[in-house]
Amino acid sequence: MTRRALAALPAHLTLAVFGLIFALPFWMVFVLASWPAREVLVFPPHLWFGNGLLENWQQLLARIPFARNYFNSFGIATLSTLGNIFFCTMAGYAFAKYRFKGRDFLYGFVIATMAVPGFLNLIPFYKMMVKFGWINTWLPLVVPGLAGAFGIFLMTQFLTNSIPDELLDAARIDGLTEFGILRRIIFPLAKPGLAVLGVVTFVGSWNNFTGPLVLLPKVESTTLPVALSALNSRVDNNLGALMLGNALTLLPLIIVFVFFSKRIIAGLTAGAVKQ
Amino acid sequence: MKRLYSFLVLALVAITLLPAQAFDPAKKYEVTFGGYGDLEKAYAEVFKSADFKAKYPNITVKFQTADFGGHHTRLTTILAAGEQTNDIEALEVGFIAQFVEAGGLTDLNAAPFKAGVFTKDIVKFAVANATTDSGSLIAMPVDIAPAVLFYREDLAKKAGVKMDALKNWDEYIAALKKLSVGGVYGIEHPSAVQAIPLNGGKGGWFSGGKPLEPKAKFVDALKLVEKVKAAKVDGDLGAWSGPWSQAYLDGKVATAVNGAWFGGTLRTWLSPEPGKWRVAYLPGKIMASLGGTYLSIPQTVPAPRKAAAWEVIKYLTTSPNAQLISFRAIDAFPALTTVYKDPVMDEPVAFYGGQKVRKIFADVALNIPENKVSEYDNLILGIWNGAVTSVVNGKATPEAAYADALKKIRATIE
Repeated sequence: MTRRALAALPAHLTLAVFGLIFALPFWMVFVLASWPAREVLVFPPHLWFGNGLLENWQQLLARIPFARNYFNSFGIATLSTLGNIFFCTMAGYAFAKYRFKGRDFLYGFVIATMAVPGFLNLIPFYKMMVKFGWINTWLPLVVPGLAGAFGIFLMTQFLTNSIPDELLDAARIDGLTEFGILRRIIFPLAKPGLAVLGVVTFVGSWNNFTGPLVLLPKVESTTLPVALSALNSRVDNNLGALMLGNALTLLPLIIVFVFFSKRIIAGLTAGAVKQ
Repeated sequence: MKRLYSFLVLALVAITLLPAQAFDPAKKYEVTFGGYGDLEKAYAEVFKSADFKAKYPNITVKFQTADFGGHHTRLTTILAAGEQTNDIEALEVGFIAQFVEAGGLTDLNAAPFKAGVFTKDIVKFAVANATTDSGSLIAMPVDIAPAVLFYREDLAKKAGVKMDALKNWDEYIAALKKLSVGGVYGIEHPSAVQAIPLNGGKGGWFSGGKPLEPKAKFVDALKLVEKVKAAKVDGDLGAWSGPWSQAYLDGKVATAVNGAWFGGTLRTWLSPEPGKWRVAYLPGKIMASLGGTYLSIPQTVPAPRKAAAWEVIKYLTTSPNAQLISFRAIDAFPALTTVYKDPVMDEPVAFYGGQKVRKIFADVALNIPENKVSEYDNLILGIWNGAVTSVVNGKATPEAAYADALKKIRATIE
């Protein structure tokens, strides 16, 4: 072992310990998903897989339309993410690269909306959705958030810091239209920022509880977090099924993070160093 | 213009006097039901029963179930928005006060429901909890949770203590000391007893418009917690945690102060071996309630749907068949007192070593005192639990914890 590697050993060991601590809850969710309900709360907890997976699976399917709920969660999260990426990048591009009258005021207004706590909007928002006839559809969970303030802010900051104006001027001289610039230059160069926005939006939509709880009243039209909450009871022990449902709900998020972690880190650190 | 006004006035009078649409046995109804926890499991069995199908072949019920908190959040939001909810919405007793005076729920004492005809057979305290100052009944009690003492007979015998005739809390603590040997915990946590002198924390937080009065009642509850803690008879087990369930599974918890429903949790998964547990009155034969469910019809439900919803509520709350099915399914103790005379109430229960526990549940249910509920109850309960934690952790004396809680409550509600 070289002297340099030896010097780095304590840091690596510390990181490994913290890594294990952070990974443990995720590991436990998958382990407990494989134990029957009566074994889920045993103490000390099981650390290795059990033989209750099939039993839990059957109980899960018997209690909620799990596949349907999965489809709803996936559909809503995917549409929200794609929509957010498209519209927030457009808005971010305008705020970052155009100089127009009222730009600062508009941008300030967008930022200010982030300061309003979500629960304050809930009742008027719900009334509006009733008026639109959107209750029990995906629309209220997708459409109003398509150009979210956070996404606009994120993309504005990213595009301001990461894409030089000279590049856009060159594209214009070469005859690209504004939409062409967006499609051929902004989107490809903004991939790290888009990855961050995509992950944040997908995770936010996937984990959203209050929205689907209020807006999707039918069990077959609701999303995973709400459907799984129905398994939370005190007498009828569904903990095994609940753990399995949680594990399967967690899977897409883990996959997203594994595949996009490099881009997310690149996106989060973009512009951190002045060149 | 005058004619237009006359027409409008007449139309308004006509609408007001128009009788609410009656239930039509020839028409098909799909009633929607918003509930939480185990209710769907119990009521799905009721709606599958031959008796229900014979009486209401034209009604099907569709559930919207969430967890306890989620259900009440959804209901509060939609009612506050003044929009249509499910036809029937379940309410836990802890939330009932919030809706009693706040409005949004149909008065079931009014025509065409006239629930007063049926409530005479329902436990009085539960009906009182759901009745407004002006006499409106905003929900029908469907199940209650009479508080009792669950105890392990084998451990009590071994320790040489009699748990079925404890005269006061001091005797209870003395018994717990004898039980707490060899790794056995007398009780899961000191805070488990705090709500009993306060009728389970279900109402009764105000006296003469003043919160936490009479003072002695509340300070004594905190002193009881302090005594249990000082006796070192608890396992410091947070309810529904891994160590808590493991202690029950290992047979290390000797007693539990809880509502009748807790028997279902013990029986189904926490301590399923029959014959070990028994039930007794609480020390000093205190009568208290530790939970309960109510069924309501929100005002925003259209009249024809209200009629069908009321038929379903009527069946669930006043039919012995429905009440007993729910009791068997999830240990939801009937709110309907006529059921207490059913032979099933006198049956020995194998899980409790053949003890006739239902007689005790019924006796407690009939003697639970009425307590005035208020819309601040949930908020006060949160602050009160903080005071209990301070006493358990030794951070405050009962007097200091009481004073602090009172200050916080006053600051919040005034």
